[in-house]
Amino acid sequence: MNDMHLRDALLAAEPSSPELESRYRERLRDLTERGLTWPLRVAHGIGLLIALGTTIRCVFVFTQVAGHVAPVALAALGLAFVFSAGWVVATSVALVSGADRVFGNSAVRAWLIVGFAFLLAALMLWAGITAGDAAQGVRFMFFGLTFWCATGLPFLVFQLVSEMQARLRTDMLRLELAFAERVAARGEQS
Amino acid sequence: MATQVQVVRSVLLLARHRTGDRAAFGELVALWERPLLYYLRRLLATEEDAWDALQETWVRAFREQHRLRDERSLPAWLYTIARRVASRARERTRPAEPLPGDEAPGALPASEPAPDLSGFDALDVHRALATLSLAHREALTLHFLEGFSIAEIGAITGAAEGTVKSRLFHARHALRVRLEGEGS
Repeated sequence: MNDMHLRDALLAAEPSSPELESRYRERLRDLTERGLTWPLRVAHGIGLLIALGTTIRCVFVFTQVAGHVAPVALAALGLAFVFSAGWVVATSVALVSGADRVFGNSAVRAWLIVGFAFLLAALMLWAGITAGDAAQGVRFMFFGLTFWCATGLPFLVFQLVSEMQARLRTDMLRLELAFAERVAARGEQS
Repeated sequence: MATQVQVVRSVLLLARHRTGDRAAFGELVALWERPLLYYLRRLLATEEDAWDALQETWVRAFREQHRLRDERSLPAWLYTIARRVASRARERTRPAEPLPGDEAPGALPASEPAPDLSGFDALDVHRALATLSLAHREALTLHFLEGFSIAEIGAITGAAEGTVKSRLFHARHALRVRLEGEGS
């Protein structure tokens, strides 16, 4: 009897209680939801405060500039409000439930930020181009470009590089696995 | 050591899990839960304790995954965590009988080869394992399940290589005696 057969036979010889096994599986299901550690709670807390501040600021700015600026600038303001308010809700849910469902996935988080930054920068550029006052237009465009360069671009580059690295690594591992399986199958045949 | 296929599959699953693939951790659990349960059953008195310890093992593995430096040593790392969990459980339930640590190795006969266990029925081996001392049972279980090297078993159990070598030799000898006794 070879070692793998002995291993399989030993594992098959071990009896197990269905009730205990189903209880274990139930508890294990919760584990795959990412639990919040203290550093993550602190990070989420900081994010929540920033998002809350941005939401309040958006409302404040809206009450001041409504009627004085182009609709596209108001749309940008509305987008910033929706994004930061959404962030407040999502982090609050994560902090209350103790599990990170949406933001636990770094890819989802990064693409949300990139998408938001792109839309906001585009709206600001548009607002700048269509602004009647040239000085204000330049300010809008400058804000849009700065925002994109400081927020969207770094996240985009980081996310693309890490996705490429991860894909390359998993592809290499899949190749190695296929090779190892082939070698094992040959070993069993001989 | 565990087969190359198991090791590479585990590393791949871990890599997928780290990139946010939620199904990957479940697949990793499915790959290792049976052998880990078998090992824990050999260390703990009841099946319930073993299932609880297995669950705790996954909780810790999940939380401490960033501490795993060499991903290829994942099988040994999982067994190390399982043993640590089992050791705590035994401290609570059987404080007088802790898991074996590192003791002075027993003498190894210089000329005698390791007893051959091939040819015996796996079910008999499974039953005979239960009759061995805890230290012997543990060393042989790790050896049979994953084919861990002396150094790996030493790292998992916290015993020196000489101790592991001696335990394995005497455990094989004791197991053979039991199996031959059953056969006759």
